[in-house]
Amino acid sequence: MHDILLFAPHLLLTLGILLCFVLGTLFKRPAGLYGVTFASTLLAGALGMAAYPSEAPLLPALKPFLATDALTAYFLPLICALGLGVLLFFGGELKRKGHKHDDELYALFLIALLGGVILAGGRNWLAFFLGLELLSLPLYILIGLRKDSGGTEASVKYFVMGATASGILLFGTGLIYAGSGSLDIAHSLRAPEGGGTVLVGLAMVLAGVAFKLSLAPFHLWAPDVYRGAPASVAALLTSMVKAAVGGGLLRIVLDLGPDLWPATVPVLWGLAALTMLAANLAALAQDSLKRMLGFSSAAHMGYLLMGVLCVNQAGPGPVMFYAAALAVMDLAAFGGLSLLDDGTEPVDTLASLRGLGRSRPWAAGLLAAGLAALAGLPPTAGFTGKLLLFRATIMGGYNWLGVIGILGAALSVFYYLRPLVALYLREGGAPSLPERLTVAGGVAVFLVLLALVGLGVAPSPVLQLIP
Amino acid sequence: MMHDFPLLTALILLPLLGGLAGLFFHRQPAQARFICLVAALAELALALVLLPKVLDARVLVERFDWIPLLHVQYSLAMDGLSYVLVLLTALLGVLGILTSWREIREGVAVFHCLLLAALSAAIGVFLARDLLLFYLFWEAQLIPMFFLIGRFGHERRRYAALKFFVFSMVGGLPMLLAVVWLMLTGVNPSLAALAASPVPGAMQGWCAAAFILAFAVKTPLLPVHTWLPDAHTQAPTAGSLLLAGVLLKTGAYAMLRWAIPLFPHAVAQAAPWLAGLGLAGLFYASWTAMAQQDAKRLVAYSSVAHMGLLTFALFAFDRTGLSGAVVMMVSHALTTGALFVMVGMLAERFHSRRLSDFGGLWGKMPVYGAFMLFFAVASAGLPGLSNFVGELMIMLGSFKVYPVGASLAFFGIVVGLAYVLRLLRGTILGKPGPLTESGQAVDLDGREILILSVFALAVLLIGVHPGPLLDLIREPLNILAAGRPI
Repeated sequence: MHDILLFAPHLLLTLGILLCFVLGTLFKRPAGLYGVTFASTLLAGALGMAAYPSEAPLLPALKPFLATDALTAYFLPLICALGLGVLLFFGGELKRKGHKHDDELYALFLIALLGGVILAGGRNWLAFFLGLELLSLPLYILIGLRKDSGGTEASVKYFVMGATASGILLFGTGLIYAGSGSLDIAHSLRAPEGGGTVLVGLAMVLAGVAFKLSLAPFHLWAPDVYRGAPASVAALLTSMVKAAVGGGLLRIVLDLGPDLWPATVPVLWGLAALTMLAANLAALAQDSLKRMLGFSSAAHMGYLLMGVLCVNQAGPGPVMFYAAALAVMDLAAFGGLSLLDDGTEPVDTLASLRGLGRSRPWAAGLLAAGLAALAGLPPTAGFTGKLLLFRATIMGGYNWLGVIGILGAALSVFYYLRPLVALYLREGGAPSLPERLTVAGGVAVFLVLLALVGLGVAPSPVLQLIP
Repeated sequence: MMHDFPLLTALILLPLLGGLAGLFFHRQPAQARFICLVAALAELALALVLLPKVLDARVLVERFDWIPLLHVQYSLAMDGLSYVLVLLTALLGVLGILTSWREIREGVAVFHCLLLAALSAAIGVFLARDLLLFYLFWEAQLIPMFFLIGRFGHERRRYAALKFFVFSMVGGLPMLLAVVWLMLTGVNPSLAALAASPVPGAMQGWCAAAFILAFAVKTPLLPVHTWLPDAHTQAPTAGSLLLAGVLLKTGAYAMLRWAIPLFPHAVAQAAPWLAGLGLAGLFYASWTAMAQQDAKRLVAYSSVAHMGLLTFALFAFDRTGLSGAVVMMVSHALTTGALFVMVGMLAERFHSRRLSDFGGLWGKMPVYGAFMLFFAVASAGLPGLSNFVGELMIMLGSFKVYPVGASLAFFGIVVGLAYVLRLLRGTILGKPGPLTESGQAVDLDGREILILSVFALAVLLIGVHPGPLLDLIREPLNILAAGRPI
């Protein structure tokens, strides 16, 4: 019974996937798929919350596969919650755009979610890779949902880059296995005999993860893909996917033995500094809001990496909190964009945002709150998250990295303000239709805003979940 | 001392909640405006009710754990100094709403909500005694003011709003790093604990620099002041009133409350330079004010000049001078605030702020002329009015510390007379300008007379009877001057 409970979230999500496919085959336009997807995500999250943290599984087959520690206990419900948040926007956007293959799209969504759950909760390299691939494969299709050339370009770009990254990562895990003789993440990185081989493998794994997290110099795909993807899929990419991959990366770094740290530190330092500077500078020059958010999201992964670098001194708490905070902020920004995009004309350039703050107060408000949070304004999740990360950085003794981070944050003020100015301080062009929020949209706005402000004003409940 | 009802929290939240309540009536501007006025009046009443408590208990405190993991507390305290500034803020809030009664016709609910939110944030700055809480309110001030200027301001409002935001935010970010660093050094980041064990060595210099940069931007001190004339000129009248009366005060207040107690050695070393910058600001801004064509810009530069004098007094750090600086804070808020309101009244009537368009208004608008003369000479430091008290005490106090500087400051004040005369000649005296003869020269109505009378009474009261004000701030300043924080 004990093992079944541990595995129940994964099983529930699988059940949801199967149901979506079966219903889709049996009926022409199956109703209730949204409900199925929603329910299985919700239940999976709730069961994950109940089951973890726990003792190691009893089944010998499951034992080396699933980690049942506090990290899983935090990330599994978080990923499900983020999935729910995305779903609230995703369903609305599918309905507005009138897509034909709802069944497959919902199933794909659930597959990605399952991948995220496995990735963040797996304790060996097989689970890591399996999770990552399950997470990526459905996204190749979801990103290409838009019918125009932008959608195809985004999909192809993500596919080619993603496949390369997966290959490199797989080869890296192979090298780690060859060097250490173990597939267990912790065991293989603790005190391996073939240290050199493991190190090369680790470098390749980090490169693969860096691609998924869009860390510089592996970040150049992000703006194009975010621009080409539907806004709700971009929300999925920046929130759930990044939280899951961040969880995976955190597990790797926490398991790194003292032998491997000295070689890893400069790499992480360089990646963090480069990401913060390059992505923030690039974001300054963007005219498309989605591209700007793409670079901004990359820049924030640089801040996150500062925390990853300092896990030994400050613990995993700051990174875990920021993973949640960043996911909520990007969910707000892209979710707001997805609500603004009612299918008549694309809302992406600064000019197209003009005056929307008045004509569509809720959707624009969500977007604006997301942007303000990303800029680190109090009292939002972004402020508290940044505070914790800079605290970790200084605890770790990397003062210069902190200074670079502040420099990046100062740069970012300029580009977060421009859309805010367009939304609220400029007159709109043509008077648009009055705002009509769906129930899901309204709930989404409320929940995301609540999370955004809640994480900023009262972070203690979340912080207490963190070991 | 703990009391049952969280009065200080109520002081902070009441304006914000009132503003949000007004927002629900965004389709009925009249109701929204009325609700917000009631909220502002209630805030003022609450502030007045607290007076006996402050006199009685000396310090009102509210404190509970907020983020235990970081040892951060939600810690508020109100002593006489905080009280004076809170009362001033509440008063300016009411006057600000009355001032905008006719100026703001579109987006009334949003405007008033932003105005009240700005009050909330500023009061939070005056009351916070925990470093993180203080930083939170400090940065939160930016948001409502940004939208107030950017949405409700004049022709170049977006430029001014962006400049304001970028200057403040970029100035504030290094402070975040310093705040984090301080939070890691002490056991808890409360003002008392941090000041009890000042940061050692070179790090104190870095932290002090980060804090003072943030405060200097807001005060504003000379090289980082350039956002202010633009922001003032472009802001709606009530926005200018709050900027001059409240926001600039948070800068000077934070210097006094946070920078000086936290970094005594670093500030002591930098004090001559900072005082010098204040003096330079006094001269530079007075000089620039004389060249202005735009009446509002002239008043804005006069504001920079006054704040320069105030900064000079702060860093002379003499007990009498400090009292003078606080009197000056209050007085500057009243006189400059009133001048902004009066220029706003002109702009509302004539849709122009150019000095060359006016002149000789006294004949057409005698009541306006009388008030203008009163506030202009008050701003120039006429004995018997509030500025004189402040300036005199600053002179007396700082002369002991920087005799040369204080003498120079005296000449700076004299230069100030020149721009005041220019303002008077450009509006109520001198030859009638092209707009003076037009039919829009209608004298003040009851509402406007009411607003200006409140300002004038306060200026007169502090001018002839500064005792109660000085009594209120005596003990807090004694404690600060002795190097102990509250």
